[in-house]
Amino acid sequence: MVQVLVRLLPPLGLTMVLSITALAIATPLGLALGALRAELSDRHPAARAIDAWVFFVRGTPILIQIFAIYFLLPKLGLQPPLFVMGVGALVLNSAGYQIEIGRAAVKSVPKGQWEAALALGFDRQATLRQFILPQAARRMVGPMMNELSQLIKASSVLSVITLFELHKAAEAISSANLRFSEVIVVEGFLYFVFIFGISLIASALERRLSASGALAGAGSFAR
Amino acid sequence: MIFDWVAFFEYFPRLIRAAGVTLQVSLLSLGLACLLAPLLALARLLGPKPLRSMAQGMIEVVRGLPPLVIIAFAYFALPKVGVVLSGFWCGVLALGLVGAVYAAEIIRSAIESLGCGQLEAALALGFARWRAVLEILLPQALRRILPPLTNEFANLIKASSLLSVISVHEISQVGQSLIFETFVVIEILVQMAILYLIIIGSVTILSRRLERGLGA
Amino acid sequence: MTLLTARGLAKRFGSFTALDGVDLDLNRGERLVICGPSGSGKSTLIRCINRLEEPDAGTIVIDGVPAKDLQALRRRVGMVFQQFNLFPNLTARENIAIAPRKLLGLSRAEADARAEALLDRVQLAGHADKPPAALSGGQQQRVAIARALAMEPVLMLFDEPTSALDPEMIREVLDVMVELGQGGMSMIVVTHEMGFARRAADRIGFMDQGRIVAMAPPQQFFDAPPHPRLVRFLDNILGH
Repeated sequence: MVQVLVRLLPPLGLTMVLSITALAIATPLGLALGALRAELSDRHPAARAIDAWVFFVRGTPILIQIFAIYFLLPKLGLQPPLFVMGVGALVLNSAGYQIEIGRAAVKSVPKGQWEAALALGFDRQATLRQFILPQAARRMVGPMMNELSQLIKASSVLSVITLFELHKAAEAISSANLRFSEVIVVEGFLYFVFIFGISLIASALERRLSASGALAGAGSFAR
Repeated sequence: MIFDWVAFFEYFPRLIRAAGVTLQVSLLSLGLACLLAPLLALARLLGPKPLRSMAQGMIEVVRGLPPLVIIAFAYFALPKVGVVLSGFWCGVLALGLVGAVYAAEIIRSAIESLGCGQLEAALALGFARWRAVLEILLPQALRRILPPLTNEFANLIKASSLLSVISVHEISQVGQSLIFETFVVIEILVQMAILYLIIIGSVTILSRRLERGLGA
Repeated sequence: MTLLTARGLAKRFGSFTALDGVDLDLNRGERLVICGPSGSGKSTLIRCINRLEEPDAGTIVIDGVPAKDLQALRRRVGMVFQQFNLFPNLTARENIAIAPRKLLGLSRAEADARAEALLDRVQLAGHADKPPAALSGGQQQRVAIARALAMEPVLMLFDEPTSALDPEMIREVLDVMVELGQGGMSMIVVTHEMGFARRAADRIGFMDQGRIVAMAPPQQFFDAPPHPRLVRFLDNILGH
C-alpha cells in the first residue's frame, strides 16, 4: 500500500498543477465572457459565439472535447506538448461552465446597484467594473470552489490521451504488478482527500464571505 | 481541411448503433439511480444514527471521486470478490451508483428547503415523522426535484462516455476506434458531437420545460 | 374536570433558558390566554405541550393519560401556527381532509364532507378548491384552524395566530376563535391581542423569563395586575 502511495504522489501533483493552471486561465476568461454576455443582446454575433461555446461544452462529454483538441490540433499543423493539450481541454471545458456562473452572478446583482451607480454619473462599463463585478465575485466563491473539484475530477479523463497523471499512473502501476484493486483504492482515496479538502476550504471561504450563499451549486458529477 | 460527406455517411450507421448503446446504458443506470436515490435520501433524513452516517459517508465518498475511478473500480475490483459482470453491466452499476448519490442529495436538499414549518404542521396533526416526510413533504418537494434531476440525467449521459475505457461499444468508444482505424478525424468527431448534442440537448430541453411547467 | 396537567416543565436552548419549571393546569372547556414579552417562553410552552419541542424535564398529562405515544397525543391536540404552514400544493379542502383521511381512515367522501362543513364553519364556503396562494392571510389562517379542527381535537393550541396578519384581517381570525371558545373548545392561545383576551379568555397567564409569573381572570388581570412586571408590560402593550 505504502509503495503504491509513494508512486502515486507525483502524478497527484500533476493532477493538481493541471487543474489549478486550467482554473487560473478559465476563471478570468469565463468571468469576463460571462459579464460580456450579460451585457450583450441575444442577437449580437459575439453573444452567439459565446452561446455556441457554452452549448457545445454543456452538450457533449468532456471526452469529446478532449478528442477535439487531441485530434484536431495536429490536423491544423499544431503539435503542442501533451501538458498544453491537457490544460487546453480543461480550459475549453471549464470556461464554458464558468461563463454561465459569471453571467448568473452578474445578473444576480440587484438592479438598484446599477441604477445607483448610473445615477451618480458612471457609465455602464465603469459601473460594471467598479461596482457590479466586485459584488458578483463574492457570489461566485461557492460555485468556483465547486468548479475546482469538478475540474480535478474531470482531469482524470485526460488519462485517455496518455497524459501521465494520477489515473494513468495508477493504471501503469497496476498493469505492472496486477494489484489493480489496491491501486484504485489508494487512487480513490487520494482524489477523495483532495476534493474533500477543497470542499472544506470552500465552506470556510463561504462562511467568511457570507453574502455568497445564493449561488452555491449542488455540483454535478460529470462533464 | 475539407469535409468529406462520403466518409460522413459511410460511418454514420455504426455511430447510430453506438448511440443506441449510449441511450441503453444511460437509461438503465437512470433507472437504478431512481431506485437507490430515494432510499439513500430517506436513510439520510430519517434513518437511525448509524444508518444516517453510513448513507452520508457513502454520499460524500462517491461525490468526492471521479466517475472514472468508480467505473474502473467496478470493472477491476468486483471480479476479485467473485462478481463477474460484462463491461456494459459494470457501467450500469457504476453510473447508477454515482447518479443515485447525486439524486439523493437533490431530493434531500429539496425536502430540507421546504423549511421546518411544513414538517411541524404535519407532525402537529399527528403524522409520524416518516409519514410526514413521505406523504406531505415529498409531494411538495417533487416540483423542486424534477428539473435538477433531469439535469443530472444529462450528466449521466455525458458520464456514459467514460465507459469507453472498459470497452462498452457506446458513442465515444466506437468513434475513437473508428478514428484510429480510418484516420477520418473531423467527420467522425462531428458525428459524435452531433449525436451527443441531440441526446443531451433534448434532455436539457425537457428539463427547462419541467422547470417552467412546474413553476419551481 | 382537569384536561391538562403540566408539572415542572423545563427547556434550554444552549445557554438560553426558555422554560424554567412551569406548572400549568387547564380545565375541560377552559380558554387560557398566555402573553408576555418576546423570548419569555410562551411559544416554547405550547410547543412542549404537543411535544414539537421535547422538554428537558417535567411531566405532561392530558386527559388523565401521560403523553407517551407522540402521534396519538398530537392527533388529539390541534395546533395553529403563526405562519399558517398550510401545504401549498393542496387546495383548502385537501389541506383539511388529508389528515382525517390518512390518519383516521376516513374515506375520501367522508373526509371531504368534513372539510366542507369546517370551511363553512370558518366562513370560507366556496373557497374549497383554491390553493393557499390564492387566499389572503386571514383566509389561510382560518383554513389552518379548520385543518386542526378536522382531527376533532380535545385541545387547541394557538401560537401567535394573528402576528403575521395585516391589521384588517386579524378580526376575522379572532372571531372564529371566539366562536370556537364559546362552543366549548378547550384552548391555549399565545397572543398579544389583549382585546381578544378580555373578550374570550377564562384566565390569562403572564410569562417572563421562562416562568408563569401571574395568572388571573381577565378582569383582575387588567384592573389589578398581580405582578409589577405585568404592570410595565401592559403599559407598553396598551400604550398607556
